[in-house]
Amino acid sequence: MASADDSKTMSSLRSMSMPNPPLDTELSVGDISQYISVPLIVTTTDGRQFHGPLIATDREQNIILGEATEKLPIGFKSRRNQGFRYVGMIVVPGKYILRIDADMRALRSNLRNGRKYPQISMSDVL
Amino acid sequence: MSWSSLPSLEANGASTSSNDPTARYPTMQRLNSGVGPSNIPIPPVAPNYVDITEVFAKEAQKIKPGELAMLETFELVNAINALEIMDLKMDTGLLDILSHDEEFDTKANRTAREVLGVMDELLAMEMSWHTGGALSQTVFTCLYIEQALNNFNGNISSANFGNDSNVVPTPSDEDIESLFVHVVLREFVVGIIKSCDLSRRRLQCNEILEDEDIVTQTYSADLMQFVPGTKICAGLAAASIKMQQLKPEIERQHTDGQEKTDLLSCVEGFIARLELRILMIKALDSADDAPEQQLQFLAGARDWIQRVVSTNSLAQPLPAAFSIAIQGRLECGMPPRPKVEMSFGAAIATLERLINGTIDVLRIHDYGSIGDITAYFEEFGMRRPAELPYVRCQLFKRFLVHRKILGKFSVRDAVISDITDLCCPSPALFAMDDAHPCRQTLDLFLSRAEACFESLFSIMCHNRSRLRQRLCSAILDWDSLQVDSEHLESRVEMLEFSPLLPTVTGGEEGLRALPLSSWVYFRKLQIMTWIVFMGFELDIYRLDEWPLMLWYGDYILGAMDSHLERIETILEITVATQPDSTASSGRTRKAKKNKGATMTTTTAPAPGVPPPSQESLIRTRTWMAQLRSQTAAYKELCHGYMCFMAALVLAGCVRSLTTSPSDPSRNEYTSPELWYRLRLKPFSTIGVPEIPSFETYQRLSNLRDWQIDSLLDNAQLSVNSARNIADAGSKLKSEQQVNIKLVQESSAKYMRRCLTRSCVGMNVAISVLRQMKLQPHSFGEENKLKLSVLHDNFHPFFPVLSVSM
Repeated sequence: MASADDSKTMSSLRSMSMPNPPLDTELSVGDISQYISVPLIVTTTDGRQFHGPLIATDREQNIILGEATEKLPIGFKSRRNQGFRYVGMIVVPGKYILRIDADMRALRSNLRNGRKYPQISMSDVL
Repeated sequence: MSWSSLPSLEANGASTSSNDPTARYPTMQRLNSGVGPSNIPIPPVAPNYVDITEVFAKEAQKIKPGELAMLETFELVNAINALEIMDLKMDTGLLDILSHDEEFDTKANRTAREVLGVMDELLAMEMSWHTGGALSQTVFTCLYIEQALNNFNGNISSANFGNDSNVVPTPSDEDIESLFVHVVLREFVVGIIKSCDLSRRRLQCNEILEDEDIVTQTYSADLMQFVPGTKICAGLAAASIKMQQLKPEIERQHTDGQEKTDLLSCVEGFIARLELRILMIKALDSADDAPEQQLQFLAGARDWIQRVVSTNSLAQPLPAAFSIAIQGRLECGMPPRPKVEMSFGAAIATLERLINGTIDVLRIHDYGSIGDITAYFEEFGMRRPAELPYVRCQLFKRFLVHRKILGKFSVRDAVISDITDLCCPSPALFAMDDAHPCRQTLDLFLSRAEACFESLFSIMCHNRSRLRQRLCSAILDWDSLQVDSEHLESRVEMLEFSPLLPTVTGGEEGLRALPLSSWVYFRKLQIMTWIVFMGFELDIYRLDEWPLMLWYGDYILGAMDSHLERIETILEITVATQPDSTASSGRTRKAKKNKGATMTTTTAPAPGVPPPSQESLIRTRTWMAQLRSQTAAYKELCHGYMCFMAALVLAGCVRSLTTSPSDPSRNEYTSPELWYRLRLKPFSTIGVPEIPSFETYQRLSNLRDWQIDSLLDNAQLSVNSARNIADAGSKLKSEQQVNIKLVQESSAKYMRRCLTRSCVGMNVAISVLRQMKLQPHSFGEENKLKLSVLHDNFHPFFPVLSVSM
């Protein structure tokens, strides 16, 4: 059982990192293809984040992102100057993925258009 | 407090029971607490993003194994350059995370010897960049460079080694090691950055190809391009002065003998390196200025090299200051590449090549005529080792300034001068007035000739392999230019410039000079010979293709020889028909050797067209003699090689290209005819001289009636004859030669010696083969001799075959 201390620190930690709410099940995205070309933020197990539109994925959740940018984990001491670094097209193996966040607006518009197979290109969404 | 995953999961209410489908797959245990498994907090995301981890996992399960849900425009070819994250071989960001670079303190004091080590390593890195390494593998691997560039905001004083932008490290005079780092090393680092910037700006030219010669990518870093070189030189000079002032201080303060001498030598070393850097920057900055100015700086830089080398022994390497993990911090979409290592000795050698090459290029300003310049470019391309990309670029930039050759005369004048040098047409040809009906066509021809001629110089500045490829496409332009020139000169109005000249054999029709077509054809043939023989230089041909290419080379050289003979005949006839008979006294010994021309003094000169001047006639004759001598030498040597290769084919040591394989069961994907046409593809569309058909080649290369010994005899005769011609050519004094002003005496001699060495080498190979007493054999595995091609010290066009058992 979690102690009172634990939960206090837990909530403080939570507020510090502000995890996003999980997707409403009402929106019920019934098809993986409706995530295609949606801008995602993929967090890897070492804490890095990659922002980019989803190009392809498979059963093992290996994700291919298009023009991706990389962001280092918070507090990571590095000589790097700026926040984001452009890395181009990347493949993130499923076993290293910690979390996936999606751009709500793009997702909604995909659902609204009711596409099963995406007809729009990446540039429309970005 | 321990942050094991289980309590936090329960606290959040997430289910860890085995009923949860995601719990079955360990990778899908998502933690909503915001803490990663290694306790690294996850950066927050933008508010409009929602966590879809669970849903995504569920949906992904629905994909069948082996299937891919993808964007329909996505193709696998687009993913070729995709980087795989978390793979050390592809993920540069991972390199950065795993590295310990942040532990290296650029503000810290270093000993004099360490600073010397860093400076020498930086020089090696700069030279590695000049020889092809990318900046991310060379110069940028230095952490001092990275720190300076990170802090740089446009103002030169901001480029320091502090890691907090508010705190500028201040060196104090009491702490000399802080001086070494923050004064000497800092100025030096800034100097290196500026040198790279200046070189890079010069290297943005058509003759240098990205990734082939040099990689100019800076990954969006600003290499201080708006800071003037003079400011940086001032900083370097100030550092140098400070070191000079430090020397008596050291004398005073230190008492220990060895330590003091070492420290003083280090300081001397600093001064030498700073001064060298000042002169390098000034030299690079004056790349477009008057040659005397740049020469002064380059020569000055060269003088300091010795002092830099002598202090290198004290340098202590500081490997922690260089890291490959920088690639994870640059805007670089490439997988990690290793750091290019270059020893200090090699770096100094490259620096000397850079300086000497640039000095040599300045010599083209001392030209006498366009012929000097073309000879210089030809020799420049054949140098071994090949010149650095910077030097090649500098040559072309110096050559063509503001659309004019050397900023002085237009390319059209150069073309006219070249035509005059070769064919000696009447001066009235190019001076025709606008009323002449052919003026416009002539102008059109000259514009096209200009373009071809200028691009020839540009092509000569490429790297050798690319040079050959570009020449292959250039001959198509020259071929169509030749068609144009022939159309032009066959017009009735042009015939006055090419009067019908009587030949020796009175029966046939006379010769017409046709200077324009002759010039175009000459240049075209010259390029074709270069293409063929550069194939030998660059090891493009397999050994069984040698007989074919030597045969074709012989054919082209034969065409060149007869063309030059024709020009010379016309020249002699023109000379003979001149009203003043001073022509006979102006003749040189070489001209007397001509077999094709005899004097007929009975014909009158063409009416109305002024004859060429005496001076240009002499010039043309001398040049013609040189060209004929060189062509004859090449032709004889080529013939010798051809016979030698024929002997090898007859003996079964080299496979013949013309015979189909004897074993039909061996599946060959090619046929001899296909191979023939493929190898001669660059020449296939040329009108004149047309490539012979495959049947002709087959017929002519049939060795049925030959014996090995007679072939070897022929080979020896030809090689000896080539050697004699070459030796005779080398005995000429400089007054008897033209176009030699810019080519250094030593390089010309070296080239001639190489040709002689090729002849000797071939003679050796012939005698070795003769001693083996081989019998004719079809190509098989048994009669295998060891044949190797040797290039060093031989003429580039004629590498020597070494034969052994």
